[in-house]
Formats: sequence, C-alpha cells, structure tokens
Amino acid sequence: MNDNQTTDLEIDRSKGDFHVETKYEFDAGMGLSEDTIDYMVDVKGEESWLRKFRKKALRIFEKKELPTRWATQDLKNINFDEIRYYLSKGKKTARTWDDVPDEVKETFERLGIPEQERKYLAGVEAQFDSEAAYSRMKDDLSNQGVIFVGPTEGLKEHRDLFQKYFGKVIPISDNKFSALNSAVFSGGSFIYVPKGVKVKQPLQAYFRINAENFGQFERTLIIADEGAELTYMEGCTAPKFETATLHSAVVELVALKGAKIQYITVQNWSNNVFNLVTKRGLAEEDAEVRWIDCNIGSRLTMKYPGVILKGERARGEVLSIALASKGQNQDTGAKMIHAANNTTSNIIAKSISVADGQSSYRGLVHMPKNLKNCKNNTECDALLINPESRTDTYPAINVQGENNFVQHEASVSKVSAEQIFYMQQRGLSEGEAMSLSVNGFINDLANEFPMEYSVELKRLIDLEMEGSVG
Amino acid sequence: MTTLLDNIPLSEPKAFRQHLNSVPLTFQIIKERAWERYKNIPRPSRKDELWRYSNLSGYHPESNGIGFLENHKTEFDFDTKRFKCLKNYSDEIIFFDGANFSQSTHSGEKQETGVVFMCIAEAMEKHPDRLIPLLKKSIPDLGSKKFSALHQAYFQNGIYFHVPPEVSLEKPFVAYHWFSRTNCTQFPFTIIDISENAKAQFIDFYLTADDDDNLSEGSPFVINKTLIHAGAGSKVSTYSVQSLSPKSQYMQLVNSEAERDSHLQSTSVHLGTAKARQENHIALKGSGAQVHSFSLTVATGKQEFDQRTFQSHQAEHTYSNLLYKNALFENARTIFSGLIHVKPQGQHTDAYQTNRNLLLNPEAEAISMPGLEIGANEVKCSHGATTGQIDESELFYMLSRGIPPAKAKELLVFGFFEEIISKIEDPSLQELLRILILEKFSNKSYL
Repeated sequence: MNDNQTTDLEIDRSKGDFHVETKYEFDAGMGLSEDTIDYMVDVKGEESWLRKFRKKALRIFEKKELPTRWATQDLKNINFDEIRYYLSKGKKTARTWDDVPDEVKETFERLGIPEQERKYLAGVEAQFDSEAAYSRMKDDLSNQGVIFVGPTEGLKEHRDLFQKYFGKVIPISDNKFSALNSAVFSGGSFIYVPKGVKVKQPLQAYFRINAENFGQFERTLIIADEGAELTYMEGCTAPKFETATLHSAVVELVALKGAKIQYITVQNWSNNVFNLVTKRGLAEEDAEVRWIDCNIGSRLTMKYPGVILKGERARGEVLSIALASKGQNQDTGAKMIHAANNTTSNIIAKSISVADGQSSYRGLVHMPKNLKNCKNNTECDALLINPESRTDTYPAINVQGENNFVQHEASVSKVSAEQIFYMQQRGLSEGEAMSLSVNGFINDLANEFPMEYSVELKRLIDLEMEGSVG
Repeated sequence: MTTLLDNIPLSEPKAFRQHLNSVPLTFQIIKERAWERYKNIPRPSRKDELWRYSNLSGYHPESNGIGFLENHKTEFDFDTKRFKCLKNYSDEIIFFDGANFSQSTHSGEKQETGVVFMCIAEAMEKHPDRLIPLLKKSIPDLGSKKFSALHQAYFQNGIYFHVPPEVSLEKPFVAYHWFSRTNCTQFPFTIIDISENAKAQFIDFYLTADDDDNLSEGSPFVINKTLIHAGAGSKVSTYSVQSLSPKSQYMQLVNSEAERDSHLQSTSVHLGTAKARQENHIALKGSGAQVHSFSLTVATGKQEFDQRTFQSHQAEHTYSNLLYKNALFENARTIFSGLIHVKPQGQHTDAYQTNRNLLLNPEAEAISMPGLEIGANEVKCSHGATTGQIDESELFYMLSRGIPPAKAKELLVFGFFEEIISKIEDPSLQELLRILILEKFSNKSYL
C-alpha cells in the first residue's frame, strides 16, 4: 500500500464523532497530559498508586527520544497530539459497515470469513455470537483456579498477585513506547494459572468480548505458577481494520519454576497502523517461554519478543514469520538474555518481502561471564520477491563465560527461477507457483500455529502473492 | 627537518600550524580543510550505532603530540632479525617513527616498468598531481570520520605504491613501520593504486622497537589509513601485520575499491596494542569484481579489538567473502560489527560474511553484530557468526595421544587460524605469522 492509499484508508473521524457525541460519556480527548491520566484513572476508578505509576511513566515517555537513531525515520510521522488515548468501550462499535474499505471487505470474502464475523473483525460491532462459548470456557477455567481478567480488574481485585510482577519484566523506562503504554494502558489480559494446572485449550483473546480487548494500548501480564502450562493466542489472520493509527502494547510473561507459556500472535492490522510493541518473558528454573509471532499487517511494526532466562535450565524460543508487502515495514526480531547456567534459547525468524516491502531482523543474544553451558541457536532467513524488495539483518551477540556456545546464521535468497519454471511446466500459473514456493519457505514455522491459523495463513500468502510476479 | 612537536597536543592550532609549515605548499589547502573538518565533527559517542559496545574512553589521539622527523637512529639497535625471514620480496621501505629509515631494491622490476614504490613524503614532492585527486575524494567512513580528518590534517609519510596497466609483479613489495616514541600519535598513510590488468602484492608491518618496559611515558597511538584501488581486471593481494607493544593503540582505516573483474584479497593480522580499531570498507564498484577479506586476531590480557566492516555491492555479478577470526584469552574483548550492503543495482551478488570467535577463558568477551542490508532480490547472501570454546572431544583425542593439555590447546588454536594462514600465497609470510602467533602464546602461559 503506498502512501496515497494509506491516507485513503483513514476514516473520517468527524463522521464517527457525529454518531457518538451524546452517547459516549468517556472520551479523554486528543493529546496526552497529566489531565488525560487523571481523567482515565477517575473513570476507571483506579487506586492512587496506579495514578502515580501512570504519571511517572508519562514523564519518562516525554523525556525519552524516538529510537530513530537505529530505527526507521517513519516514526517521526506519528503525531502524538492527534491521538485519543482513552475512549470508552462503546465508541469503537459506532462505525458502520460502509466505513470499511472495499479492500478489506474483499479480503474477508476471499478468506471465507463468515458474514457475522466480518463485522466484528472490521471493528464494526462486537461479536455476540461467541458469548456463550466464552462464558462456558470462563467457568471451566475458574473451576481450576485460573484468573483471566482485564488489567483494571486484575490490579483491583487481585492486587497482591499481579502487582508483584506488573511492570517488573518490562520496566516503564525500557523504551519510549513501553513508557507510553505504562502511562495510558487500558484493555488486555491479566492471567494467573495456579500451580500444576495445565490449561488444555489455548486461551484466546478472541473470546474476550469486552471491546477494550484489542485496544490501542493493551497491557497483558501472564503468570504461570510452578509447573503450570498455558497457551495464549491473540489476533487473527483476517485483516483487522482500525482507525486508530498507533498501537503500543506491553506484554509481560512470568513462567515460574517448571512452568510453560506459549504466546501466539497473529498480527494483521490494516496498513495505516504503527504497531510498536514490547514483549518479554521471564523464565525461572526449568521453565519455558515460547513466542510464536506472525506479522502480516500494519504500516510499521517494531516488535522484538524477548526471554530472560533467569533460572537454571530455562528455555526460551522465538519463532517469527513476517510478511512485508507494498508500503510495509516489518521490523521484528528477538532478544535472549541468558542469566543462569545451562539455559538454552532458539530463534528462528523468516521474512518475506514483496514489492517495496521492507523486513528487518534485529536480534540480541547476551551471555554474561560466570555462566556455563548456555546455548543459543539463531537462524534468520529472508526471501525477496521483487527487485525493489528489501531486507536487513542486525543481530548483536555478546558472549562470555565457560562452555557457552552461540551460533547465528542468516541467509537472503529469492525464489529460484528453476523452481517456478518447473511448476509452471507442470501446469501451475506463475502466481500459484510463487505462492507454493513461499508457503514452502515458511512451512515449518506455519505448522507451529494452531491448524485453523496456519490454514488461513497459507491462504493469506496466496492472496499476497497474486500479481506480485511479472 | 622541523623541530619536534612532541609536547604540544595535536588538537592545539599551534601544533597544526607548525605541522602545516612542514608540508609542501600544494598540500596545505587540503590539510587546512581537513583540520576544519576535524574541528567541526563531533566526537563519536557510545550511542552511535557504529560505536556500539565500543569503549571510547581511550581514543584520544589528539591529546598526544606528533613525533616525527628526527632521524635519530642510524641503525637498528633492536632485534629485527625475525622479520627478516621474508624471502623473495621485491622492494622494501623501512620507517622509523614516521621517518624513512632505509629503502632497498631487490629486483630491477620497477624501473623498467614504471612502477612507483616510494614513501609518501617523496611522492608529495614528485607526484602531487597523482596524490591530490586521491586526497580530495571523500572517503566513506565507518564511524571514524573525525579521526580520519585528523589523519588527513597530520599525515606526513607512508607508502605510495603505483603499478601501471598490464604490469605483472610477481614478488611482494614490503613496508615496515617501526615505532619507538612514547606519547605521540603517528599517521602512516598507505596508498596502493593498481591499474588495469596489473598484478601486485603488498605487505606491511606495524611494530614497536622497544618493549613497554623501556618506554617510560606510555606508548604510541598509531592511526593508519590505507587506500586500495584495484583497477579493472587487476589482481591485488595485501597483507597487514600489526604487532605493536601492549600499551600502544592502533586504528586501521582501510578503504578498498574493486573495479570490474578485479580480484582483491586482503588479510590483516592483529596481535599487539592495548586497544585497536579496524575499519574495513570494501566497495565492489564494477561487475565481476571479487574481494576476499580475512582477519586474524589473537587477543590476550585486557586487549580490546573493535572491528567494523562494510561490504558495499554497487554493481552486478560481484562477489565478496569476509572472514574474521578471533581467539580470546584472559580478559580480552572483541567486537565484530559487519554489514553486507547490496544496492538495487547489485543484482546477482554473492556475498558472505563470517565471524568466528574462540573463547579460551570465561572472562573473555566476544561481541558479534553481523548485519545484512539487501536491496536487490537476485542475490545470494549469508552471514554466520559463532562463538564457542575448544571442542572437548578434539581436546580429549589429543590428550589421549599423549599431548600435554597446553600444547593440545595451542595446536587447536593454530588449527583455528590455519584456515586463514593457509590462504596466504607466500610461504615465508605464512611461517613468519606462525612464529609471531607462537611468540604471543609463549610470552605468558595462557593455555
């Protein structure tokens, strides 16, 4: 999507405002100041320590510079004064189906998303259909002692539990956008899985109907107590149409001794969105944190999921797929901070750049001295489809200690002409051949996603590859 | 000969004026511009991506004076014999603290063919028309813009090596840079200009005459700038060996350009100094250009080696292969930061970048930042970085054959380096490097 089209995508806000003016009482207005925070805290009825926390974060946000020193200059196009930092939940449903661009509708059509879900995904209305399923699941979980709430509720009703880790894995001052999130977060999930409980079904943000869930500044904190296991899934392969142009989430995972957390993301925001996300997990002794991440949408995504391997024999993994189409910049990567002996980590990142799309991998692997027997394996492969496609790789590997081993490998290639030719002479069109090759390239990672996601992912790649050759 | 400027820091305008008066008039404008640039460019900071992880605190070449042009030695009163083992070379020039010490010709090759191999001070007098355009060209930098400007402002000597078209030189040309002065900054300059379809080899050494124990007030800071131009169809090999005293500092700013169908192989070996920074910028400018770039570093004690490389593919069908190997002992630290950059016109590029670090002590630290920036799709590019220890099973095998642990480790480290040493054409240079590396091992019991 080029710039012109991107502007086309933006919705006339005044139209939405007109509809809702009298109906929605909670709107903190444009721009960000201490007043915005006071307003939010009052509306949400939050405790005073949280007010202090938010204000401190605001000061840090204002003080920190944009990371344009190493990241794209496109960040300068974010106008922080023209963003609404807090809206009441009802507001988002105020859009009408007519506001949704034809491209998005067409994609729904081709992906075969049911009529009812399309409206939900387009942000036109909340999905009431799955309410029954949601509450059934909620009952099951609460019988096991699992807590699955929003951050406001979590910090109010389970304060002792969540406050201990809230903002600890990702401190406010980690980066400018984590500070922003800390100042204005609303929506997201706070989850606690008690000792030894293994949640069988993946917890899906999808089932959480509360409209705040996919908010601009969502905050998620997941704690898996000793020996607990869970899989959390957010997002959807269908394009998520959004009018808000800045999304900045903070996700903290805590896996206590022997716990396992798997966090799956499929990000497909529309192409006008800046998606600047901070995600990090803490793995105690024998614990495992896995990030499975797929970025398809947005104008610019900056996301480097990380794992702090704090306990012995902890394991961290990041599997990442990025698809950068026309006008997109997928700046993704991974961080592995080894902080105990015998810890292992694995990073596999695959990116595909189409048209003038740009994908980047930024990695950090850190093994300080006094550590023994740590291992890291990093592979990042990039596929370039068109002559103007671009890919960058910037890993940083810092190793000391005894008997630690790190290997990093990256390659850049294109789909080979021989492969395409072979498939063409077996009767496939050039586009089909290209999709098949690209799907082959990401196949081993795509299989890590739940089945319905990986099927949709493949269909989506077919869609993106159409017309990308020739 | 001018008086010594030893005691005036280089950053003082007075020091610069005094230096300026000592160079030919035709070069003064260029130097004055460089001096202005130097003053205006801010000092790099740790926040600069190109200085990430680097320990900048020690890089103050400007607080030294310049130690130059005092032919106070007429013969070497120190051991140079071990460097005399190079056989079969063509010409050699020896510098002592920046001044020509001796020059000898071992073959008649150059007179007949128009080859120029002389020191820069002489070339400034005899060939200003050739040098000035080279000095006016803006040179891409990898973070040391300020230090490069300082070099341009203060350089006085070094090597000018020019080979005319179609001339094939079989034997290497050699330069030795000996340093003895303390608390001074030296600016050796090397210009290697090889014309179309010519063939040449060049070797240079950076060495300290005295042990640090004999140097009462610190050690020299050496900033070396090397410009290599491999003309179309030429074959060029360069070798640079640095074995300065353990307290000295070194900066090596290398800029290579490879034209159409040229083959360039450059190898640098780093053994000495307290702290050294290598910047290696390689531009593949014409289609069919091939560049191999190797580096071998033995880091011990508290040594820090900061390596920044850039492979710039600017034309179609170009090939580059970069291999940096570091062995780290004690508390040593190495930083490797490399980038393969392929411009959209660099279709059919083959580019490889490899960094291998061998950690021989838990306190040693190896940082690796191998990068790719690819803007063309018909490319084969890859980079790899590994950091690890000596393979236990290999060590065990050797021990079981009765080899003592220290010797076994030494052999394994040698094996690690052999990949690069074996690529050196000249067997006597191979042998010399093995001796130098061995010496470094035997100085202390690292293993």
